Amino acid sequence: MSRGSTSWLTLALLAVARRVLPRERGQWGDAMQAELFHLSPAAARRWAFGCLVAAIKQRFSPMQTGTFRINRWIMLIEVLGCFGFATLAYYEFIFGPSGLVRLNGEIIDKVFLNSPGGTYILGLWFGFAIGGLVGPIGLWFGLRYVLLNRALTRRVGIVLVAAPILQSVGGAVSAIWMDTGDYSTSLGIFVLLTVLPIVGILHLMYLAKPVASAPTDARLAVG
Amino acid sequence: MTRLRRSSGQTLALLHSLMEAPRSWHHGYELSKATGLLSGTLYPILMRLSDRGFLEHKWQPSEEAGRPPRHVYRLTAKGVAHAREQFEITVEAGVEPTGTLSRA
Repeated sequence: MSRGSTSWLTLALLAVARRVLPRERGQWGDAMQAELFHLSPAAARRWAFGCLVAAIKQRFSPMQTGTFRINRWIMLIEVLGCFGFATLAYYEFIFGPSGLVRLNGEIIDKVFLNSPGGTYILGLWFGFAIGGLVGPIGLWFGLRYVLLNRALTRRVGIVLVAAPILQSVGGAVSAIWMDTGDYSTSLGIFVLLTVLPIVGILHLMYLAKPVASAPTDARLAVG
Repeated sequence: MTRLRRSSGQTLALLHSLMEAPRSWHHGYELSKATGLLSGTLYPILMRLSDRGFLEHKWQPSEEAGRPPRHVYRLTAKGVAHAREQFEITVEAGVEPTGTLSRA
């Protein structure tokens, strides 16, 4: 196939591939392009698509050697950011002036069961009493990492990630099936009490992985 | 003492293909056809082998008039030694040099 008979799609794919390739891999981009002009149109198109995949891999491979092992003080800020709000919210929901521990049968009957959306709110409240534990527990494990450099085991991490997810999914399903009145969980609350704690837990789980040491000998790290 | 790590099946297949004629130069599409690897898998392996000094490459004028030169590849002496080591450990591990599990 000559340059003239190469389809615009094939050339476009290869142009993107060469653009995506890291600058130091420029010679490989030339090699990919040169190969193209020796292939049939159909094979050239497949080849160009593969070259784009190869270029993307090359662009991303240095990122995979990056690490989320950040400075301890920055980690402290992250821990407070991810779990601090959730912990304060948990304390307020459970022990605050209108907290769960102050509920009794009369209040439940009067305030929740006889008002639109009240049952939903009560359900969310009890759900948060369990799922919201990710806040204080995450704060504990986060501070433990900051102070003692001890990360979270995978098993505990999975439970702590699952709890707020189940709570959110349960809340969303309940909102669909029940009369929620004017009450619904806002995006801000969802981010503060579900997304941020999950991000924090995932980071702590990642930090539990042993540090991959750089190969001292090329024999160690091929393929 | 350092322990030699076994290469991936795709890398083994490529080494196997290059070792069939270790002194000859091979172009990318020829290696792709010989190994069954698509260019998206083949080039990253070629680049990695080249980075580690196992592969040498050069531009070779095309035999067909009007076609651009091709980038061709072959194993260096270090690459040949590495390939032999890899084949030994894959045989010890009961894996064929092409990367597939051998049938006992």
